[in-house]
Amino acid sequence: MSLDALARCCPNWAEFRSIHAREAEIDAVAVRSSKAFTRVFQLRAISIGNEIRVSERLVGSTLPACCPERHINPGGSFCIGLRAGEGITDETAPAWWKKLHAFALWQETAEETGFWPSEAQLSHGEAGEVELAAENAADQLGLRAVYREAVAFDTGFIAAGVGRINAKTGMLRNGRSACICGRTDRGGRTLLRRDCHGNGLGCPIILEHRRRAMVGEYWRGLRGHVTCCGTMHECPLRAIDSKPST
Amino acid sequence: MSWNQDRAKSRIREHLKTVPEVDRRVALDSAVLSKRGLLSRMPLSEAFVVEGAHLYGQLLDFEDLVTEQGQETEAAHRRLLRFLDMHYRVWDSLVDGDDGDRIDYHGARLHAVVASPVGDPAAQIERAVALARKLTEAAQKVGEAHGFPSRIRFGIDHGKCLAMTTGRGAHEKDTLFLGRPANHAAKLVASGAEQGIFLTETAQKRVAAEAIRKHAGGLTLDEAYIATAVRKYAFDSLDRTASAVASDLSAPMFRFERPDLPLSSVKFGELSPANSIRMGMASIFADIDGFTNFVDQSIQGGSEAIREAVKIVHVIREELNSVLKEDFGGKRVRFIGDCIHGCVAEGERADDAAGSVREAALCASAMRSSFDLCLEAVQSDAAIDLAVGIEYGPTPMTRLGHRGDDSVRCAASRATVDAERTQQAIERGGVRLGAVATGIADPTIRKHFSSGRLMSFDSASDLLMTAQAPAVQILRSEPAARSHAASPTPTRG
Repeated sequence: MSLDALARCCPNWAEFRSIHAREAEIDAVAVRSSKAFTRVFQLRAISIGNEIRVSERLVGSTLPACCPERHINPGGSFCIGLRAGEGITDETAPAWWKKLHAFALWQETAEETGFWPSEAQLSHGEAGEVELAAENAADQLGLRAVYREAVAFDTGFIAAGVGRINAKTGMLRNGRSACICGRTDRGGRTLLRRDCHGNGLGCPIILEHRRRAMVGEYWRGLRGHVTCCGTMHECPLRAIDSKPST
Repeated sequence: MSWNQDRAKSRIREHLKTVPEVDRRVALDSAVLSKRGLLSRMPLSEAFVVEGAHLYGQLLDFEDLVTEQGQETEAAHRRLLRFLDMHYRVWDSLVDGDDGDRIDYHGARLHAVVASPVGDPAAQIERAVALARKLTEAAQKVGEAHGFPSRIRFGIDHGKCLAMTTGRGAHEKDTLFLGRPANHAAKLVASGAEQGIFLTETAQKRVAAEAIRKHAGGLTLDEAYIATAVRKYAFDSLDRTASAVASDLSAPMFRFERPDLPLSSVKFGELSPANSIRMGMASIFADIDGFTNFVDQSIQGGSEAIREAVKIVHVIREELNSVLKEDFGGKRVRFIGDCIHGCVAEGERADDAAGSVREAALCASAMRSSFDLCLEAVQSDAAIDLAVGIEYGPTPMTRLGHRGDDSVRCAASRATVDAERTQQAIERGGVRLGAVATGIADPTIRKHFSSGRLMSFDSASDLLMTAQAPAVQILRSEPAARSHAASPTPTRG
């Protein structure tokens, strides 16, 4: 059982109490950079099928009941990592605890500042998978920092390259020019824009364009279903909620 | 180095043990005043309320000398320090006067408190006016002799201030005046670029009736009144010293070396013109916003309220200094009123501009966290906040003026000027980066520190992804510990 695996490697910053085979309570207090404690998080972990879901015991008591920017799903469950709750075993349970630990620490920062560290999150929904793919592609080219800059600040040449993508085809314009990402073939020749994405891990510029489109879809999907909690400064829901209805 | 909550709490407990005592009668005794001269040798352990005229002077040509053809070169800094040294040698002649005046200066600014004749505000202002005119004449005399433009703008206010001394060692001590008159005189000076002697509304009301006359729609000091004041209060030592400095055209040789880091290991006592330091540094001005009003209310509130104000400012200032020095390896240049000016620098062999700004930003956040702990420790509900300005640039540090123990420590550059100006532009509490610091800072620093609320150290440590942040350590050991948000359906995360 996944919950048993979690119980067996419960770290010292948390207390795990089994309620029954498919439910447990967790009390968590983490230590921040200055050695100050976080608030006490009173959580519930439930096992549904092959998945562990964790949320506040009383949803909305310490954290917002729902806030995608704070990685809290509608219904109050936490998204502590991509597929973090699936198929927990003795091998993967320590990683689950680490994800919950980091999540608790970053909640305190988000609470105070209204920001989540950019490096410490993935794009919402299916865009998270694309972001990982783009990151790998950029990594292979030695462009990880440039890619992160494009995601976090929309600056740098990858971000600039996104502006040169044909919205209809999703590919870089001027396909016969050398690709902006600089990928080369085995002979060291720079690949053409039209060939780059089909080669190996893909073109980080095209993947970034795709990621942005999927993030846009994600927020459009939430429109009318989720209300902004007002705690995060750059939440698109804030803008949606503040628009006058027509 | 880093900020730690327990260490800060334990330091604050120690600072609380060294709070200066406030005399039961609160006001500095006039007999004491005449015996030892106002505050020139104020003990560390005492604080007083002092009534007098506050005279602020600003060398208006200072900023033009900071650069040479737009560049802050070593040559420009040598010339700037020679300019300050020339004025400090003149101003030094007033420091140890036994006439009840207290003179203090930093950068391009002079602050004098005139508390004699005791109990006579009009005469105190008259004496301050005479001093301002004498200083103007002295500056012209030495400036002409040494080839420097030397215009000074003076502002005068009058009233009660809280006076106390902090710091240890001959070259680390600062005497501070807190309250409206010191603040308003300084603001009056900063509010214009016209040479002359200007009085605040309060000072205008307390000065002799014949002192003020209408001129071009405003009120100005009457020239005949100034001339009478100058005849009445001679300041002979000032005249003598100005003549001596004007005829002695030898100037100190400033030699700069790059210091070993951290900057906290630099000792002002070991610096001299020939042994000065210079490197790219981030200048930090941290000011207690709202403190002037708080002190004024305390002075009106009586001895208990004054004791409370002394305790708060002492604990906060000492702790901000500890954060700068002990947690971030920075060097305090001075306490100025309720403000601390310090520098931090990064880069063992070459200046690390972005690293210095990043360290300064983290230091500012640590100051915020310590500031909150101080308020908690003194259980104060004072309406005060912390405002921090940061700017970066090449900065020399040295000692100027009289040789030996009486020389004055100095850090003067475009960055020191603009850090203070940046801080002054903050309304209520917060943080702001100067233009240069903003340009060289990494994007995360720019986003969170350019202007706005000053966050706690823990949050800054997380957002800047410092190596000591526990969440960052987790992310290193478990790269998949990146929070996500599931698609609206199905729920995954």
